[in-house]
Amino acid sequence: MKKFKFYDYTMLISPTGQKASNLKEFLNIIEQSEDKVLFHHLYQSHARYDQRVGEFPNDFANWAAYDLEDLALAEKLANFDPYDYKTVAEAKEALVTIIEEHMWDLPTIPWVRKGSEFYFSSATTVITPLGIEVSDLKGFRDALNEIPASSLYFHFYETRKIKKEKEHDDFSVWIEDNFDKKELVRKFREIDFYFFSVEEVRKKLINIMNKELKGTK
Amino acid sequence: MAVLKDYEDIIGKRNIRQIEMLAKLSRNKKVVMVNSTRDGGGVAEILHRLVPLINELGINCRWEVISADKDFFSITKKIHNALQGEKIRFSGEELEIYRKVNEDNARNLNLDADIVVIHDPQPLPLIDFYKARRAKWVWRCHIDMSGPDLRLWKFLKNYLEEYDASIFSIEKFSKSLSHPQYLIAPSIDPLSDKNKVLDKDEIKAVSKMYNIKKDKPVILQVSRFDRFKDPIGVIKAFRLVRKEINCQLILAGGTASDDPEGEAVLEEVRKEAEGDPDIHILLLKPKSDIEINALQRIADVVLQKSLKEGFGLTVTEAMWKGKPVIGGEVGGITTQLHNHRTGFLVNSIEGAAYRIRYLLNRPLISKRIGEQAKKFVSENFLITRHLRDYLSLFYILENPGKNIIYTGENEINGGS
Repeated sequence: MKKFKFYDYTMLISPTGQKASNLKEFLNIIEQSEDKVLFHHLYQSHARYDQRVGEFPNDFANWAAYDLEDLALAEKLANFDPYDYKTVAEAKEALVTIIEEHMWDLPTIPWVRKGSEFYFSSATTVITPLGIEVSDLKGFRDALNEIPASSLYFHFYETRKIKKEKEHDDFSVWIEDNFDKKELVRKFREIDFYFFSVEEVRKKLINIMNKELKGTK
Repeated sequence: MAVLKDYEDIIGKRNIRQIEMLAKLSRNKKVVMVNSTRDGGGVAEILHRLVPLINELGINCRWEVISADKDFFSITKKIHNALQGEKIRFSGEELEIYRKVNEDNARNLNLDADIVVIHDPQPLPLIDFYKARRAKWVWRCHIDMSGPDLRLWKFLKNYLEEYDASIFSIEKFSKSLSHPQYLIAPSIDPLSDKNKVLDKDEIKAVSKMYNIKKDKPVILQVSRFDRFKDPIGVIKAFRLVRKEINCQLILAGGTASDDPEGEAVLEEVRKEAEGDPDIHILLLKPKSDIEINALQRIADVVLQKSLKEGFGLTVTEAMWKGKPVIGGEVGGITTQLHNHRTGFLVNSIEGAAYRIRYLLNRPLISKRIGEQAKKFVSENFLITRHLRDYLSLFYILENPGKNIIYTGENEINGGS
């Protein structure tokens, strides 16, 4: 039996100093951006539970909706799932195609008003052992209540990217490797994680675990 | 003074644990913070709380303050204003005083440390006199740098480029620089005198002290008497509201030792409000924290109608007390107030007046917005989050060029 070790994930955002005032600039900067910048805005947007009040799952879609006020583009960007791609470079190519196709049909280039520009950033993250280790499912369920949202993001979102396997969040892999619980693994993997916020995912995981442990002490 | 454990009831065990684990990574490091005043203004207030908490976690953190005369602070106030966008020309003599005071301070201050954090432009040139330094130097900018005066910016950038990193409060203030930039939002301390829970008697005592009767709704702005805070605009907005709703206005603020313009602005405000019994102008003494706390709790609607703003901690304080806040759509206020959810952003005197009426006429919506505002602050803008960010920064500075830093074992669960 291998213990599950929880890690913590602390992120400091680093602005690149680049900003886009219109859709053309936005596209150009994306095309020239390093992977770490795209990674931040497409994937780590879920870890930015701080300061972001938006209904879409990534920074680009929120900017398109609330600042550029181009709802059609926001809808397309919201439905784009970067975890469908093995590498950030592949995700970037697909993203560029979406924006290019959208722009192709527009009569003019949309601009934002002053103060609503998109500011590009990357992030530096520090991953530390959280000091919580569990070896059974009850302990695991209790820990889900205990860990910070950033830790949950790391284990349920970002490690999929590290492993380049969309289905393989750390939790379900550990359960699969250590317990004969195929149904539980399936339930974990069915969660539409990119759609939900980290706290919504926490509630879902705890619900699934509570049902699983019903009747056990 | 509160210790880290005292915050457990507010932020929960899991967030305390996170802070302790991060602090272990920089234990025994020496850090020195440098700014230009020990009292007055948001920076001093944050350092008063942050420095003891960093020390409690086993990191040796000191706080140094540069000493200077009135001339220097008149120049640095102008620098402050020009960085916030005013077109101001500086004489060679002024810039020489700015440099010379920093040179003198460099001789007198003890900046022996692993990490030196310089706050705001006043002590920015200090780095020039530490050419053979071993420490990492970081410039922490607290002001609205979204549109600085170009000539001054070019002058200051020469100093800034010598630093190892800079910190801004929000993305909009970041600049094109050759070193890494980081975002750290400021914070408030929920256990300080300014933000702790007060009992009814304490609040009543403050109402009595300032002769405020709660017989009509109270609109409040707490801020230094500074033109960027637009106190005259607040009075004009209040007068528009009073045509429709019987209410009163409190403008409360102090002056900081590094702000020589304060008295002139206070005089302008007094003149504008002269003879109006519904306008209370309160000049608060330094350390009037309980009074500010009580005033914010007395208020029905809180304003921060700034024209420029670094972050706007008075907004955060009022939100923490569950008050609906109306703020100018500038600087860090925009990261705190989200229309209809955590407050309202306005761009004009008329806008401020309209939103005051909106909130006074809809008490249930006001209550809901206040509740959401409090939750938003508790998740994002408390001192414990600020502490966590600094601890991350200290460790990141020791590991330059890396985007992901694993501490402890490299093997992550699941075999990656």
